[in-house]
Amino acid sequence: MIKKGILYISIITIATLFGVVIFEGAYSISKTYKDHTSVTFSIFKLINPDYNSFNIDRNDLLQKDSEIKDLIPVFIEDKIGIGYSPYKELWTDEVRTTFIDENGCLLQKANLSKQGGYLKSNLFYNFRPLTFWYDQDKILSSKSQNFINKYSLNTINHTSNTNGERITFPRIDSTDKSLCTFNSLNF
Amino acid sequence: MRNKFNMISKMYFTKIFFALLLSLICLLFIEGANSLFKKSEMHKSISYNVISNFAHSDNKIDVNKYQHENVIYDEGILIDFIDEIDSLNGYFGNVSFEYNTKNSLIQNNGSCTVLNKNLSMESYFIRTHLYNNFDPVTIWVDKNKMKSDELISLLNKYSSGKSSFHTNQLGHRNVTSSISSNDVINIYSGGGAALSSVLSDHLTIPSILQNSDPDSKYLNFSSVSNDISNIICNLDEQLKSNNSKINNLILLVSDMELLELNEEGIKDFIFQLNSVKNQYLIDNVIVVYFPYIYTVSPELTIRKGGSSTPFPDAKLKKDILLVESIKKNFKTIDLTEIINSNIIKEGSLMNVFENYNHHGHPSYLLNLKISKLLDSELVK
Repeated sequence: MIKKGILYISIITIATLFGVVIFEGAYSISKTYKDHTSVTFSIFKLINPDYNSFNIDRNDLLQKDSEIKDLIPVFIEDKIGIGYSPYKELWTDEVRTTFIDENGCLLQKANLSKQGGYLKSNLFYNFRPLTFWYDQDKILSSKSQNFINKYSLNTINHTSNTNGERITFPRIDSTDKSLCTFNSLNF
Repeated sequence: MRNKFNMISKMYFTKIFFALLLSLICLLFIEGANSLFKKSEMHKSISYNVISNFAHSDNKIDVNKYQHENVIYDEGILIDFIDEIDSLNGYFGNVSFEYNTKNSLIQNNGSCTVLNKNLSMESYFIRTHLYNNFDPVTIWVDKNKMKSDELISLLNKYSSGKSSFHTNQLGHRNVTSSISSNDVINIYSGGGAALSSVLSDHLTIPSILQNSDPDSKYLNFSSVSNDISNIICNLDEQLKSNNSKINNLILLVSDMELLELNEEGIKDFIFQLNSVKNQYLIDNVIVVYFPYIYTVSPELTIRKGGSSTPFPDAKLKKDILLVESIKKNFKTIDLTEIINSNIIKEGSLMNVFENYNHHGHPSYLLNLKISKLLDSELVK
């Protein structure tokens, strides 16, 4: 009876392992030319986020997901937008500098007076750094302010006029004007 | 008769079906095992790697629509030139494939690894994404040897410009000045980062210093080796035959030279440097710390999910290096601060790239900044 039990367990274990390997193979092929890690490893990493991770000796570098995750409610409360992160709740219509009008055009909001900048982090996309945005007149909570002070690379001003055009300095009074337009590159 | 035919075809069909099924299961098993074996390492499936190799060799299938015309995606293009590069007294730098050609810039003189004498080489950075993105492939050839049309065409198509590399009869990288025994001289030394082998001679730090200070003489004693003991050995060997008074010794130390050293090792290195200073009556020693790009900009260069960082304790080692140097009254320059202050000034993390020729060599622009900083620290 015990022998039979051991045999069944062995068969089930081998069959499961075989199934996992076959599944991983199918998954790997389905990714075609894209780089990937195995599903098993991805699940394992999800359960143990610190597995195989290393720490870079820099205090001003945002290296842990948890540091930004834990502050999500604070950022929402302070109306801070965090761009280029996977956390969609930090990039809502309210904090964005743009909106889509009734014709489907992406436009800049009018009367913007924002402060923003880059965050120093290696968490997500290497060549598309995290950004932060908040209203200039907003007094931030100490948690948000400390986070920005610690991890921001720079601070810039971003303002728009009543037409939603980015303000140019120095102001021009001439009737002859040059129009500068295109997409975010020009922006 | 018909029944027999049906039976045979059914039997073959079943056999073929099971053979195909078994092959598919084997393939999936191999792919799965490979994927699991790679653990945290990002990888492509074996099948697609094989397909892409075939596709690249006959150019019939466009496996990657983002491929650029002047970038090498197929290692075979480089491998085809191994024999010719070898015959031109050259070599490939920063490649992963194995071949027998040795680095033709250096030799071991019995005590240390030194640069060969009277070299006249040219080097090319090759545009490829095959290996380390921040440490591009280089091709080195003897300037005076004739290249084939095929090699010229490869270099024209895939290189991003060439540099020249010369050494004099003593094996020093050329600085445009001749030395007489009455001259007061300045020595510049270090490992691979100091040598900056893929920058032309006139763009290196001692050349820049020499051009801006014609009343002084600058010698370049840097060598390819990143081994600290070799740098000290090299320095000692070169200074033995020197009869001139030495005003300044500039030593550029990068993360690579510090990599294998612990705290005691760094202290010992500074101790040895101080012994050289005292033995050869050098007035002034300036230690310049140069961080690899991974140290100064992990944001851009270290992939999240990777299993290691190239220089995990770079900051700690740098601190020891600079503190120990100051204890011996050496002057110090920390280039991390220079690079970082410019990144902050420009408000762009990407600004880091203007300081690097590749991951561990300073660019000409940074060399200009270093030279300016050195100018105010030199004893004249």
